[in-house]
Amino acid sequence: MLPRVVVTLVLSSVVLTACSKNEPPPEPAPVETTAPQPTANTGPDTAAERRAREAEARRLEMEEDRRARATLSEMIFFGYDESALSAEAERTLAAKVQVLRANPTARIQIAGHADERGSLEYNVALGLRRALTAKEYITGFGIDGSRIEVTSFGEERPLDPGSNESAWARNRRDEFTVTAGPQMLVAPGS
Amino acid sequence: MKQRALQTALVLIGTLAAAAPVAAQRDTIPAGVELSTGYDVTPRPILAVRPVASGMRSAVEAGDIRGIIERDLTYSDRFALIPTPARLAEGDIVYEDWNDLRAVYLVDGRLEPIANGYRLEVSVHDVVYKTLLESAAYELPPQNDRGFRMAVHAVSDDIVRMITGEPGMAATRIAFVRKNAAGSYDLIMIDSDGEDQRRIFGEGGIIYGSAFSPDGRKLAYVATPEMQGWELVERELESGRSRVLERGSTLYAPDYSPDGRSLSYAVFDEGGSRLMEMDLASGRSRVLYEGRGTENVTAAMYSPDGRRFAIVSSRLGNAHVFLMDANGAVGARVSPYARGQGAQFAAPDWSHTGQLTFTGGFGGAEQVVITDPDRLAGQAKQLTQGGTNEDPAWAPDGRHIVYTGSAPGGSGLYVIDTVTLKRRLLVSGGELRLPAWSPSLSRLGPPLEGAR
Repeated sequence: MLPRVVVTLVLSSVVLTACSKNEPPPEPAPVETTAPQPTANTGPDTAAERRAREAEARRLEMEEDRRARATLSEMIFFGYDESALSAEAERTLAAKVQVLRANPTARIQIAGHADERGSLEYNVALGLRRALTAKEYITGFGIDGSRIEVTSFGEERPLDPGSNESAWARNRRDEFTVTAGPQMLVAPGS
Repeated sequence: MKQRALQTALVLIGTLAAAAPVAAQRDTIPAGVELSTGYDVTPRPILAVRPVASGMRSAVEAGDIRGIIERDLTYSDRFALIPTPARLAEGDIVYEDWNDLRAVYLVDGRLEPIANGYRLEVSVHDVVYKTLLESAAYELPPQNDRGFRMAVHAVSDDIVRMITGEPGMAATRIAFVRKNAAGSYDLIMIDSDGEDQRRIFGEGGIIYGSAFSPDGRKLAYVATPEMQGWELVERELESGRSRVLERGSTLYAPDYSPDGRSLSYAVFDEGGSRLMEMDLASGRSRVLYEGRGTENVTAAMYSPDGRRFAIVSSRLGNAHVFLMDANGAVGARVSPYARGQGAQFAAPDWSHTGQLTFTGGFGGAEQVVITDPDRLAGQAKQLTQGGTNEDPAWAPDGRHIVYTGSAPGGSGLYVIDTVTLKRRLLVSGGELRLPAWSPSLSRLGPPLEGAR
């Protein structure tokens, strides 16, 4: 149990320093397959100190899981009647690629959505086109397509029920849901 | 790397295709769309319905029957109805009296109770020619029977046929989907006059577009139970039995062939966007048309002769309505097109006379248009304005259209007469959508006897 906690600690500290929100993620790097060597425990240790360390490790582990999930579930948005990815959407998807690489058993669902303009049925197609575009982008980096399920809600589930340009802009989107994977997701390594 | 290059190419194509619409989201009417602004001023013939004669035992029913028929004839938008003066309510018909009232047609009726319901005798007179046009007798079920109103509607349609030679639309129902506040969906059925609203079924997932079989006994629709994939379902309306015809990532826009043997529908999954046709006896499907690249194809509606389809394709960047042969060869574009205007056209539906209705999205707000695809391809007459008006479907009379309207005056399902442009609110409610109009549900068969 102890070595694993330490591994996680090391990993998350790396991530904390490497992960800067505004910097566009580089081309996803190949997955780091060798785990860092556990550092030896030095010196005497009281039970209280050990418990505190474990609690801190658990906290960091949960924090890392939370951030990995947030990255995976961050939405992307589209232009009117478009399924092309904006530069911002590409950055958001590239970050997901990293998390998917770091968690090979994780699976996601991409659900495309449309604004209320256009026929209901046309918007189902538009939503699925948006979901497929995101999936194609992700699988283009070598993520296995079987890990990504796509669906479309058309115009049925608006984020903003308003009928104006700002509401429409929020509603033209892909939503991402983690459908399977480890209990705790790890953030991508450097 | 190769994948990456492909991805970039795809994105580029998408951007090019979509560049035009973004620049052109103005609230303008595209070239080729003629806006209908006023009522047709063609005078409608004046028609009177005399009180239905009856004995004491059926006086109430006689009054109700006359009320239903009068309203049906009003809703047909073919006549101007006038009340019957008390002095002409009974007795022999003297044509001069009705001519003085400027009536062109007179409907007279007589009701008698019989073993299991009523016998209704109707005669239609041409006041101008001073002659009996036609008369017929009908058997009606008891008034508390579920089929009573529909049987009276069938009489109204027969009166329309006697006078105009054209089919009516009173003995019909309209199916539609209601999205509830909690996000659940119900499939609802209502009579064409807005009575007898019934919930057919409901569920948590999305319910999409329905289509009546040509005999009016079955309804095909799409449901997404608990959002676990989409199902194309066929339901028998009388028994409530249903069967899943097809499952997939997304399925939509079912439409029965005029002979009732096949069903067209649209599929979009990772294999692409395509139009399918299922042979209902064997359950086997074939591809009618496959979208190329980023082309979305979202409906294939059978023409009245069943030999071609009106389809929706986004091959021009935006959705447009095209004609397509049964072998998948796409022919003429039907919807108006002007480069750079970015209007979307979708949701086509054929009338039995070969007219098409569909929606045009101008500046984002859909409006209902109609056109004759063979004579006026590329042009369309806009029937609605103000708010968003969509999902049009023809009545079996080939004259009325039901659609979803969200005009400032009230949201709901509207029926519009394509000749006079008169509208009436059929059902009010904000989240009513995708109406489908049944064929004639007249189950009377031929009239009992022709009493000439």
